Amino acid sequence: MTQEKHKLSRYPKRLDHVVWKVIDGKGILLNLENGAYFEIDSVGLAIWQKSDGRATMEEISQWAAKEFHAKAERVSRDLADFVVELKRRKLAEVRANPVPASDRS
Amino acid sequence: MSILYAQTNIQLFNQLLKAGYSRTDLVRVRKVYELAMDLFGGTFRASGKTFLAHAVGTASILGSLHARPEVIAAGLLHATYTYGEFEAARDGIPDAKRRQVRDAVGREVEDLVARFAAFPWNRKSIPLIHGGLETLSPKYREILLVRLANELEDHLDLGVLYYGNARQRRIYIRSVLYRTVDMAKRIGFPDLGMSLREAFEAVASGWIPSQFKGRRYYPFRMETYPKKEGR
Repeated sequence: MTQEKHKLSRYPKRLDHVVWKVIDGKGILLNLENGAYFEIDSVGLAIWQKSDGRATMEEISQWAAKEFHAKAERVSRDLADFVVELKRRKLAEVRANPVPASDRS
Repeated sequence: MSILYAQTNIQLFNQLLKAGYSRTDLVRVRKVYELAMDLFGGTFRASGKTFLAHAVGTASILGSLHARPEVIAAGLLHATYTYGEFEAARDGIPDAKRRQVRDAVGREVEDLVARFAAFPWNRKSIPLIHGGLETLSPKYREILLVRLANELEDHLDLGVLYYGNARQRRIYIRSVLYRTVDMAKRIGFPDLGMSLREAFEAVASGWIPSQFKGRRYYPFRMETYPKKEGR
């Protein structure tokens, strides 16, 4: 529970070497470091768009639960899995602190 | 509108000096050119144009756009990890190559060059990068700028018509590469976009005698040693 809480207080952030585009409601991600492509569905895309290093996992989770009319617990678990996958594929990082104001565009 | 870009180191140095780049910047570009001589000395484009002229031309285009000196340097060395001739291993980007380049030109320029080498640039990636331009980070906008300068340099003077695969190159321009015109505009370089359009249109309508067309599709290297005996 403590570990879960700890994770929820972190800030997922898209990495700079990923360029992405929305096609037919889906997200197409291209990793510019290795040329690998990924497709994410509309829910994943919504989370991806929120992953700007300014919102915590908890905030995104609450937002997604409301947006997609889902149970907060389920959303929280799915979000954690999704972010782990993004990290594994070197598409996103999880920060302990929010992105500094000077890095925001 | 037709701009003449440098094709020799001397023309490039004079251009940068005239454009107001500092003495320190010029010393750095000169050092980078020396590495480029080592890496591309005996290499040619498929058209037969020397690779060094192409590298200088790419740097010159970036200089005309008032790019940062590091980006101009990266333009000179953009093909380091694809066509550069290293004494060490020939394939991939092993640490030895990167260390050699880093020692010669510094960490930042080497990083730009390595990212350029990895930057996916093909029929599938170009439309996606075009569509997702707003999501491109500042660092990758600079990489893209080098890529666009490289495309312009390749297509100037009807360059690609001298390739063995000129016909396919024309199709590639129409189907994919034409997007670079809009890309240049959208990352803040409308003049580059205009030059790319002019170069593409010239290639589309241009003609050269068939005897001038090369047989090669890709850059190649001329081995000059060992020399023939008795010379």
